[in-house]
Amino acid sequence: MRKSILACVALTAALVLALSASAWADVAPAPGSQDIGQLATNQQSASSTATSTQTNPTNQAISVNILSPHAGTGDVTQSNTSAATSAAGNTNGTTQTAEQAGSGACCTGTQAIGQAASSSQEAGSQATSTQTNPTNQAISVNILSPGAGSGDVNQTNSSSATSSAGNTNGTTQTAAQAAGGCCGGVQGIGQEADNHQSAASLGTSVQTDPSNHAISVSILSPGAGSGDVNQSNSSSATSSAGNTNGTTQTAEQVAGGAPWVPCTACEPSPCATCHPASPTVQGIGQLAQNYQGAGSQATSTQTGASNVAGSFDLFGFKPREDHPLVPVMAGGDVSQSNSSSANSSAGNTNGTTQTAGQWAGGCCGAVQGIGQAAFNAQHAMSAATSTQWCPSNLAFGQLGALMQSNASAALSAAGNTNGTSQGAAQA
Amino acid sequence: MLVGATAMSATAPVARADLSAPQPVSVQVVITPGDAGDAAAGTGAAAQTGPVNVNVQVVIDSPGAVTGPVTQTNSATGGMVAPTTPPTPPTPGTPVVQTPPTPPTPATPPTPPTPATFAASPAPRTVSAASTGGTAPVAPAPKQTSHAPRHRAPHRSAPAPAHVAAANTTAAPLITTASAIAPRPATTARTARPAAPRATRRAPARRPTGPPAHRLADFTQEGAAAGGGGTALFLALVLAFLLAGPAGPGEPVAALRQRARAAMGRRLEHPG
Repeated sequence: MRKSILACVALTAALVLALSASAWADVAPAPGSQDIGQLATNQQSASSTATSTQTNPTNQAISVNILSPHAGTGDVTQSNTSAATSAAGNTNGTTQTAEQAGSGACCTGTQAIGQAASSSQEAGSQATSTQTNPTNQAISVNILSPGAGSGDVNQTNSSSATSSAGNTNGTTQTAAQAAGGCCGGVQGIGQEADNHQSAASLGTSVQTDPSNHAISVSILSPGAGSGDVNQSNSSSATSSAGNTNGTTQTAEQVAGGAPWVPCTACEPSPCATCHPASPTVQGIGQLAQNYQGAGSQATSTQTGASNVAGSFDLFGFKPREDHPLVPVMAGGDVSQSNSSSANSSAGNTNGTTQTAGQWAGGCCGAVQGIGQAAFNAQHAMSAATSTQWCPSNLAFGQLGALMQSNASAALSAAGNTNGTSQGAAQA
Repeated sequence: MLVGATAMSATAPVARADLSAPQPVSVQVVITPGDAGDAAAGTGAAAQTGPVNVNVQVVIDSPGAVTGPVTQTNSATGGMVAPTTPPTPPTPGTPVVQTPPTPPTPATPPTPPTPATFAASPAPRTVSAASTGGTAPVAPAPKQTSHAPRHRAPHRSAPAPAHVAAANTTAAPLITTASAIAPRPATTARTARPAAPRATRRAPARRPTGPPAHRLADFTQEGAAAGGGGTALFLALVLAFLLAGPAGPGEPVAALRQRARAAMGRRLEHPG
C-alpha cells in the first residue's frame, strides 16, 4: 500500500516537474499550457547559553542593643540569588498559493502546478547556575534591654537554571486549477512539504553549602524577643524542549463542461476539434514529511544545605500571664526548608491536513488520480535528576511554632502528538 | 567598595536629666566590599565572586530606639534569549483525527492473598522533622509476640543502639571499680563468680531508643547516658560501703550488711 502511494506520488510529482520544468528554464510555454512552480526553503538555527556563577556571597546583619529598653530592630531580609535563563527558538511560516484558470475554449490545454516547501530548524539551549557557599547571617543581641525586640528575619539562598528550546513551523500550500473546454486537457498538481525540527535543552543548577543563620541572644532582658524566622535554600533546574509543525495542503482541479463551456457549445463534433481528442486527465500528488526530535534534561544538585535558628534568653525570665511558671517565648515562629527540584519536559506536535478534489466534466470522459502521502517521525526524550545531600535544619531555644522540611523532587515528561487528516474527492 | 559609617547623637531621654550621664549613641555601619549587589559579565553569563553585605547596628543607652529594616541582596543573573522571534505563521487548520477504538480493558487480575501479619507487629511510626520540632524520633519498642509478658528475654536479647550500648559500657566498669576498691576477704566457700554471667545479667534493660535525628537530639541523648552512669556509680559506692571496710557504726549497719549479702546470694555472716 505504501509503495503504491509512493509510486503514485512520484509519478505525479514527475509529471508536475516535467510540466513545470519549462517554466523554470525560461522556456516559453506551449500555447494553451499553464505552468506554475513554487519552491520555498527554510533553514534556521538558534543556540543560546546562559551561565550564572555565584561564589561566596555573604549577607550579615548584626543588631546590638545595650541598655536600651524597648529598642526595636526592623525586619531583616537577606537573599543570595544565582539565576541563569536561556531560551532558543525558531519560527517559520510558509504559504504557497497557485491558481490557474481556464481559457474558455472548446479544447483544454495543459495546466501544471508544483509546490515544494522545505523547512529545517535547529534550536539548542543551555542554562547553568552554580552557587557556592552562599551565607546569610542575622544576629540580634539584647543586653540589659528589657522589652527590646527585633523584627522578622527572611533568608534565602537560591540557584535556578531555566532553559528552553523550541521550533515552530507552519506550511500552507494551496493550488487550484480550472479549465474549460469539452475535451482533452491535462491538469497536474504536485505538493510536497518537508519539515525537520530538532530542539535540545539542558538546565543545570548546582548549589553547594548554602547556609542561613538567625541567632537571637538576650541577656538580662526580660521580655526581649525576636520575630519570625523564615529560612530557605533552594536549587531548581527547569528545562523544556519542543517542536510544533503544521502542514496544510489543498489542491483542487476542475476541468471541462459547465459552467465554463458546455458541451452543447462545441457541437456537432466537439471531440473531433480537439487535439488531441482525448479525455481529460487530472492528477494530484501530495506529500508531507515530518521529522521532529526533542531532548530535554534538567539536573539539580544541592549539597550541604543548612538552616540554623536559635534563641538564647539568659537571665531574662518573664512569666506568662496565664502560666506563671512558663516563660514567654523569646523567639517567634521558625520555618526552615531545603529544596531541590528538577523539571524536564520534551514534546513534539505535528498536524497534517491534505485535501484534494477533482471535478471533470466535458464530453470525452476523464481520467483522475489522487495520491496523498504523509509521513511522521517524532522522538522525544526527557530526563530529570534531583539530588540532595545532607540537608539539615536546626532550631533551638525558646521558639514558637516550628516547620522544617527537606524536599527533593524530579519531574520528567516526554510526549508526541500527531494528527493526520487526508481527504480526497473525485467527481 | 563602599564603606560607610554613620554616627548619630540623639537627644537624651526625658527620664535622664543627669547631664553627666553618657550620651546615647546609635551607630550604624554598612559595609559592602567587593562587587556590587548585581553584576553581569559577558553575553549571557554572570559571574559574581565574594560579594559581601554587612550591616551592623549598635544601639547603646537609647530606650525605645527603632532601626529600620535591613535588606541585603546578592544576585547574579545570566540570561540569553535568541534573536527576535519572527512573526507567527498562520496557524494551519486543526486536523481531524479519528480516535482509534479503545481496546478492551483487560480483566483485572485477582488480588493476591494478603500475607499473614502478626497481630502484635507494630506499624512503624513515621516521624517527620516538621512534626518533631527538634526531638529525636523514637523507634518503636520491640514487641513481645509469643513470650509471656514477664519474660524479659527479648529485651535483653534485643540489640541496643550504639549510644545506649556505649552508655552501658560506661556504667559496667564503674561497678567493677567500686568492688575493686573494697575487696572482700577471700574464703574457700566463696568462689568468685565469672564476670560474664554477671555482665549478661546486667545486660541493657533499658528500653532502646532510636538513633538521633540531629545534633540536638544527639546532645540530649548523650546527657541521658551520662545520668545512667552516675546512678550506677552511686549504687556501687553504697554496695562498697555495706559489703566491705571496717565495721559499721552500730547494729543497723550490720543488719544492712547481712541483708545486702543475702541479696547478693552469699553466705550469711554472723554479726559482730
